[in-house]
Amino acid sequence: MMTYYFKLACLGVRKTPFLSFLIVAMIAIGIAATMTTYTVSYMMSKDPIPAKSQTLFNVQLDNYTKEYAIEMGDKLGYTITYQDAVNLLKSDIPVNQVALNSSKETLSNPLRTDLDTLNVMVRTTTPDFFRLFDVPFTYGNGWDQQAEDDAAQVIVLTKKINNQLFDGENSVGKTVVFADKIFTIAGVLDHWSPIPKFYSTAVDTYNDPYDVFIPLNTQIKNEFYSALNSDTYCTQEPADGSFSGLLTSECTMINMWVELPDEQTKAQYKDFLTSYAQQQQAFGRFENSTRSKLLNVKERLIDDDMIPNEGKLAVWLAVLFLIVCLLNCMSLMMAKFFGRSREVGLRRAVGASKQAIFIQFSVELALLGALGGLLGLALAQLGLNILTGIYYYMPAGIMQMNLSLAVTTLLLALLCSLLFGLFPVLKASQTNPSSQLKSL
Amino acid sequence: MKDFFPILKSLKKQKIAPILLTLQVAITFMVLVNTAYMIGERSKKMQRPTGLDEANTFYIVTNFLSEPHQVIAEQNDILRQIRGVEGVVGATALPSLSLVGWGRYTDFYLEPNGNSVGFGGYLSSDEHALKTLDLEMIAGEWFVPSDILETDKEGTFLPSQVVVTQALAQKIYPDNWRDIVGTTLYFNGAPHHVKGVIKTLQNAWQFWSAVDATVLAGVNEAQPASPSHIAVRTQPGRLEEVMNNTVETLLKTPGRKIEKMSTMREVRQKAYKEDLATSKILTAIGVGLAIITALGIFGQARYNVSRRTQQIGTRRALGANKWDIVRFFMVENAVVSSIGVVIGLLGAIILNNQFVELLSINPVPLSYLLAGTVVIFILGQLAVIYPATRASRVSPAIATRGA
Repeated sequence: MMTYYFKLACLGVRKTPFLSFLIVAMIAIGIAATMTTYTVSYMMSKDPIPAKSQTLFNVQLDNYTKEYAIEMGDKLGYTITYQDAVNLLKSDIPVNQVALNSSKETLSNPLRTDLDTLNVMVRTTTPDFFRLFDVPFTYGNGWDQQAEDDAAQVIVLTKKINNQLFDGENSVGKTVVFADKIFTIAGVLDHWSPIPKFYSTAVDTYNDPYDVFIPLNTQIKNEFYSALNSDTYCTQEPADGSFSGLLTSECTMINMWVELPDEQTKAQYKDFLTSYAQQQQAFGRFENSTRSKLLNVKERLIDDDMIPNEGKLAVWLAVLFLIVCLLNCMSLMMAKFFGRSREVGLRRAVGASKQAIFIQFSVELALLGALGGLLGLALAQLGLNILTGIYYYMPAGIMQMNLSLAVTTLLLALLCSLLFGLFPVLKASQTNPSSQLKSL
Repeated sequence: MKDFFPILKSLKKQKIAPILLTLQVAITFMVLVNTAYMIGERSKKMQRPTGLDEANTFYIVTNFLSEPHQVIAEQNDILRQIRGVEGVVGATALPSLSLVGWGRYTDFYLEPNGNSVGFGGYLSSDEHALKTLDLEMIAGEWFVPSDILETDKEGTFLPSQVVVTQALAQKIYPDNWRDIVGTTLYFNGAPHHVKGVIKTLQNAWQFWSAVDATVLAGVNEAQPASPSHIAVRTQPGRLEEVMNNTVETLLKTPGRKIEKMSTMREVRQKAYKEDLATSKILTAIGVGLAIITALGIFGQARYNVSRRTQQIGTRRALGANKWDIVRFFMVENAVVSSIGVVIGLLGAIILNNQFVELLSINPVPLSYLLAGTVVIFILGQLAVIYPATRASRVSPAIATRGA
């Protein structure tokens, strides 16, 4: 029976080709607009590290002056001072813990004089970084605690930099010239780019991770520092302008993350932070309060407004756009089925029930919806291509549909066409056979 | 107007189709008004001047090679080298620059321990800034060389001579902003003497409500750990050439690095890239929606014409001329548009309230609602003209043919 209805549906589509085409086009355009904007918004705000988003925490302390605290209210800074980071890293409660800072330096391959010296963004961090953020390696590994303590001159390259300097070959154990010093390559990363880049700063949310990684202690020992690239924030003037003065000052510059696998360790670590803050207050620091915060990945993204609202706004508008398309569709369907009332009258007169007519037209609608969905999927790809140009400053990974989004697109098209077609179909199936037969 | 009641009657008889069209018009109206407003606000924001001669200005950040206490001399030497480059109008060192997204800000006080009277961005520079940043003095006086302090620490904490922008002066002295000249402003625990008022100088953050409120202190600052932004203004049209020559000149010093270099055009483009992208997407949605709705009106009218051929023929046979028929369809569309706009007005206000909360923007002003109404009417009339003229060509003879 269904094959018969399907045949009728195909016939019906062919009988009114222009109207059918318009209906399919309307569904497709509406669906494409919605899914294009939804894809971008979804990818912008998706969970960047699903396996650990509940167990990774950004550590925040309150070293505000009383005056500054009034301005900031409930919000704490997402970075802490270097001295606090050093002290907190001594805790053995977290499974993994990292302190992050950054710099900008030069990098070159001494054996390849034909290549230019690169200016690279440097992530300076502690050994747990690669374990804590589940960073994949192609070759080698990160560095160990011993290398960290010794401020060893080791470096981890991203895939991109390894491709540039070593043509993608295994470069582990080879040396590079980093900031005019000799560094040994410990590892090369595989492709790794969490979106959004939650562990960094708001201005950096949609950038790739930095080019190379070196131990934090190596940075400190060699004074690799530029305020421009280190996200330093001072509420009180440092004692002197030197680098060591900065490290002992109240200027915050370290972004700290800890991995706490369960509620119990989290509570334990929270207690540790509180007692640490109290101890520091006794030394005359933390004049405002002994508050501390542990923000998980999602809280951190919200707290710092790292995800722009623009994406959500566009989805809102696109949904309204879809509704207009569907209303338009509904008028077209009314016209389409109204034009077929003679056919309905005839079928009813030779014995088809109202249900049979209803099913026949519903199948036709589903066919139109499915065609609309397929065309919509193609248009959405086109839309995403255009958005890649408009959002040239965002990683292209955001402008890509995954399988579940593609399936959603098709289902949404089908659902919308059936929902908005329900009334026209009901009305058509209600046609009175006698009134139509008279006019034949 | 004699068509009015027949139109209402026919709309009532068709029921569903006019309701669908009305809803379409309503939604289109509210989305159009909101997108147009958001695009308008963004373009207004993007057009604010920084105060600089943007077409002929760039900035450069270098490293420091000398010991911490000697960096100020090194910076002065770098400045001298740049000023010596052919085609340079002026060069001056600042801790940050307009729209670069990185800088200092501070609260202002009229008494050492009073209440804050405003906030704004902090920049510091020497007497060369007037020419380099293309500043326009509108009250008081510009720095003389003896006003300028030199420091290798953060200059914000030093008692200094300052000039302020008109926007900041107006915030602190709303009644007469000129009163600020000669007074003392307190910030970061130090007194600062206000020498004069400049017209415009935006600070580092384009998204900030206080982007136009800037204080420029007479402090030549060079911090070992954070080298200054050196702004360079060139003779008109020589920007690229001067940039190349500047780099070449500076790199003659062994060990010298260029940390950053960018034209003010690029800085502006980068600062407003999100606004620009959003504007483009909003435009696409608005235009797309207008086209879809126009198509809907067009389709509906055509469908009506073909359904009513008989009726039109009869009217023509009874003496209605072509214009009467065209008018009927146009007035019908106007009625549908009016109802749509009324519903849309309510919707637009509700939708806008949502956006106001979601995005902290201002409510849509009346002018946009009025303009939106006009646009919807014109759109509807344009879409209906072709089907209506086709209808007017229906021959009166058709009425005589049997159904």
